[in-house]
Amino acid sequence: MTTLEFMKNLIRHPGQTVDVLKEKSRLLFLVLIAINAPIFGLVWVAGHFIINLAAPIIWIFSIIFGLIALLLPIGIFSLTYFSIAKLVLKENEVGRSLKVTTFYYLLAFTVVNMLLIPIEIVSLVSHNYYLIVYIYDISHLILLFWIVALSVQGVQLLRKDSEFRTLMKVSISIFTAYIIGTLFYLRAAEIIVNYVIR
Amino acid sequence: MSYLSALKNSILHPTEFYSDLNKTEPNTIKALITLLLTSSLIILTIFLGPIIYGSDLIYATFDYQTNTFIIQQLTTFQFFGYYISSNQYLLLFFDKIFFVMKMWLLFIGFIYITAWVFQENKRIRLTKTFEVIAWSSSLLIVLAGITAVFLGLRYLIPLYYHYIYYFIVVAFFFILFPSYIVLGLGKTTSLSLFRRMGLIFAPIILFFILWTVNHSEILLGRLM
Repeated sequence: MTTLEFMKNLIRHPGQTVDVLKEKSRLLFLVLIAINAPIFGLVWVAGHFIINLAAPIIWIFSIIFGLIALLLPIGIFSLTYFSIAKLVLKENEVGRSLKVTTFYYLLAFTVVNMLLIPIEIVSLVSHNYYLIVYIYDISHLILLFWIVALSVQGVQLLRKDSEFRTLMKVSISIFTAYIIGTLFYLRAAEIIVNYVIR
Repeated sequence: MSYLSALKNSILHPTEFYSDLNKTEPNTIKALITLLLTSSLIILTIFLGPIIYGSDLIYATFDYQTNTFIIQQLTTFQFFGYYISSNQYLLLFFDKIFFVMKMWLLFIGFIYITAWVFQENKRIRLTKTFEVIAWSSSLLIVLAGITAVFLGLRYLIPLYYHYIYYFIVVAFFFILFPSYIVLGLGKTTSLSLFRRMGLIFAPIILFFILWTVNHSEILLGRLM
């Protein structure tokens, strides 16, 4: 199975891909980070300097910022998820469930950011800021749903435990990690945009 | 099984409760009573808000949000035949219960439509969806009890009680309650876990889209 085929399957039949994830996880993580960093950087940094997109410095900034902005929340998310999941899941399953959840977190992030780029360009060029906030919030809800739904399904396939227990434990871990991760991330993004880039 | 023990089972032993529920024909009357009871307790909790917080912040926010919600504006017909003033508490109480019931029906209707679109082998019934959601809502009765506990806690930990209360409310509405619905729908439909979770999030996204209609100032406020 090629990486592209795997990605297609992952979106269409997520349940079938958990086993492959165990073997190819390192490569897939790298592929996703490589795709996501410039996209994420563009969404955030180029969004602030859309008029000066031709300047090469903006592109360099975008990629550096994209990497920081991508790895920072994932790091915080994984760390929080790991700590909480350790409390609620059985100890030997935490590592695997962390891998599955972080992977889906990254995947959902990539797809949502890809969708955000054209919307952001249209709204910035047309000065319709309401559209961008609106779409951003909806995409955030969809992102959260995707992370929770895919992770619950993935962890359920790994654990073979009662569906309800997995649902509750994974939801608690993800929601807490997401809230803490978002709070840290928003503050970090504010500092980077206000004090480093500007 | 008596109604009260069914209510208790639906909260404490949801897996067994939904398995039993699936074996019987849907009882819409009992489900409607549960939904009314939950709605009344939710509104009572909001009316108690001023006592918990020492200000009418929760009630005022709820009142503003309900009156400006697009569905309420499209369906309101002056329930009591005249405008209810802000100090007619009992009438306001019934009016707000009516609003919550409307929202439940919208929520159930949308879940049914989404489930109908996602259906695989087994066709989902509207009465069954109604019954599952209504019994899942019984969990929110516990929230009313927790609110009562926090009435006392505000004297013991006055600086932190509202943070804890906020997280408990979020946990109830975004973790526990959806988990109960996903479990309940799992017993009555053949939908996969992923799709059943989609059934919960689809109405949440729809409600958010509907909410944004009259509240652009709140969304844009974050940019200014």
